[in-house]
Amino acid sequence: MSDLHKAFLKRIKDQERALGLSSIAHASEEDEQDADEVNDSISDLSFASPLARGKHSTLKAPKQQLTKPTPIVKSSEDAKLDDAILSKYNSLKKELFPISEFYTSRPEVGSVICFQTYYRPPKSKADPICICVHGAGSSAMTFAFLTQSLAEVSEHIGVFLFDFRGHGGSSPTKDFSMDTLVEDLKFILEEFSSRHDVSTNPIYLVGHSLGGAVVSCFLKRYQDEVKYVHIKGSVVLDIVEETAVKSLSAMPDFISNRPKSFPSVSRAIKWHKGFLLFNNDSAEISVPDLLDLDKLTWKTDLRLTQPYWDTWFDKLSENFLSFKDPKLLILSAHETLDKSLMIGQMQGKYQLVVFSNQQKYGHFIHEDLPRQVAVCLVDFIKRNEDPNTFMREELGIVPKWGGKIQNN
Amino acid sequence: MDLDTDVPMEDVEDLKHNASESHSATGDATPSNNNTTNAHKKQDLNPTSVSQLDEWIDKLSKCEPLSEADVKRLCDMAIDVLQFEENVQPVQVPVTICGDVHGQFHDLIELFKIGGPCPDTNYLFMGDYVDRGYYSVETVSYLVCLKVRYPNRITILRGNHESRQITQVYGFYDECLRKYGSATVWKLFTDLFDYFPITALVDNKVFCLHGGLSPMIETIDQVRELNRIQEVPHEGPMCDLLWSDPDDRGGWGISPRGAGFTFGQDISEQFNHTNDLSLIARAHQLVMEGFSWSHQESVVTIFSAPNYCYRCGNQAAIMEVDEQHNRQFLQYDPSVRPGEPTVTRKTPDYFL
Repeated sequence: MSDLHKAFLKRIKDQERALGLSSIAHASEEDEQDADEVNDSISDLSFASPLARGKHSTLKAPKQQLTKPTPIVKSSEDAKLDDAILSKYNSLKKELFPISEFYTSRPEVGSVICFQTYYRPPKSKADPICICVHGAGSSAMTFAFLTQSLAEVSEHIGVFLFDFRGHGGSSPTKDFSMDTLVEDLKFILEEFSSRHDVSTNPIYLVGHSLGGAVVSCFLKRYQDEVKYVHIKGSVVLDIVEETAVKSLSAMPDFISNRPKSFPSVSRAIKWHKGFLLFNNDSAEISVPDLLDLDKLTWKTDLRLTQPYWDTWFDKLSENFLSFKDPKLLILSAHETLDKSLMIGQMQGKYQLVVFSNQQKYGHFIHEDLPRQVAVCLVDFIKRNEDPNTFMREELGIVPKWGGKIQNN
Repeated sequence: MDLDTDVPMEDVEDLKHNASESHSATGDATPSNNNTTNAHKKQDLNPTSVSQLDEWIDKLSKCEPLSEADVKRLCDMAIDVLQFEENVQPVQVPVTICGDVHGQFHDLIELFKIGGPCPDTNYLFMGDYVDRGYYSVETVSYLVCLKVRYPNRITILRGNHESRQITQVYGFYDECLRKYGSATVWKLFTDLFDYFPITALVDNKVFCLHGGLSPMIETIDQVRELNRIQEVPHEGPMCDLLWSDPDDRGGWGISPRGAGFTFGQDISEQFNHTNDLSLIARAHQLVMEGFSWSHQESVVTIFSAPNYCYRCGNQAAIMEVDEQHNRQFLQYDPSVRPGEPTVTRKTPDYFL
């Protein structure tokens, strides 16, 4: 374990102590796993790639003594805080996303999976739609504040979100292989385009973290086949193959060291703040979506994802670069490009934005700086959609010679 | 035009020998600028400055950074020289034209070995001295020292990385903090960058700049009209000159970089025809062989940082242009040097 990782784990521990939390495992986990097995059909695993098994050490079983969890009894103060947070969470969700639907996937092989989706339609059939894809252990609501900021920056833009299987409001699963996630994205896009008339809207895929890897892999595989929607650009938020692969070695410790449950939603939000999330308003919407609100445990058991980590970031840089249309990579904190991305960037193949020299943000850059990310996205979209109008109206530039400016 | 640019340098050399006799700060040194197209007269180097500069060059050539106080003195001297240069700085042949260096100091020393030492060889650098490599401070200090010491022997243009905003993201700012404990040196250099000329014209035939063409600039005279003494703007002609790339597609295109434009062969040919040019030489893009022709040899890209960022595996190149305008490319690989300092790349806390 590197010093950095040690320091990080210490920070988690300190944070937990401060919040009166414990990462001691509860016996109920074993029960939950059994329940999951019942929910999941075995054939579901047939989606898994043969590569999906094993390079990484498997997580150790919790060593600590197993005690029955005490039923959740929130202090009256916590209960009051939680009521306020949850009422805000529920109303903002409704306000931001007039359409909330379940898409049910019935594959020939594998189990039926229901996907929770959220849609904020664009103003017209010509306006762009951002389809945002969340990362592992996250949920659609990680993009709630980005959606709000996008609406403020450009009221015409549409946003579509969904929860991956095993996340948010979607069905639980044990299959988190890249192939499965890519096929899920494909299914959801097809279903989205069949339910809503979006054939003329320009579509921009925005993926955060693992979501960025899924988007890039999807586009690599299907960019020539997608006819049902018109994908015009790809945006990846804070994920770089080399860094991601390196960081995976620290993840088992991270996962086993995080609390298994919380005494209240507000405590869960506090736990995230200061090292995972820095924007309180956004955390109050995104964190409740991560929890089973009855038991106050995680909805997503990240330990189940570990066998698939090998498949997640493999060829991410190559996939991202192979998409022929406009690409935007947004990184938080430091520029950490790997070789392929470095060459691509230095050859001018894509746009790179790095938020730097500020303290108050991290990996969830779209939550911490929703306004800035929204401005980046809208500029990127406008520039690509209609360069001449963008240049004239936003920048005051009219070419003096050589004809009009072409887009792709 | 008379190519005898040696003369003023010899004068400076002469003065150096008399340095001990004359301590007058304004001393009556001979004009160091015989460039008739330049209406302004550059401030002349006094003997103390010459010996000071030689001392700094000596120190820097060993990759030892200058003190903060010396950087301040150097930048003041450099402003005196650079503020009188033109937006389109005239350059004589023979000259050796170089692309991005990006803080790869040891490779810059290799470049001078391959191309010949300054001032024996005339040099034109097309920007991007800082960021990404580990020795941006030493690299830019060294080049600026050479510029002040031999103003007619070396021309240093501005690249898109010679900017306050970009250097805060790509390493120069952090390096200054690491090496000096404060941002003062970063501030001094980024203030100086505002004075760097943005283009050069070699013998009225080869137009040199960091990035490429702009839909707002049809003639070289239009470059002369710009007010360049400012931070690199996010858009507009000055931004384009530092950010644009040639492309296989014709006409103007939006740049995938999000700044500047792409320009096609038709644009390059028209620009060269309008301005009676034989070639546009530019840098800005990594090319695996160190140089690359485009648009049927109306544009050349030169990249002078071998194995860019210590990981890209590319060759570097420089382009010699002789008195008869013959061009020759010299390619080179990374210099052999003691191990690079291991800069630990922070792995993030959480990355799923």
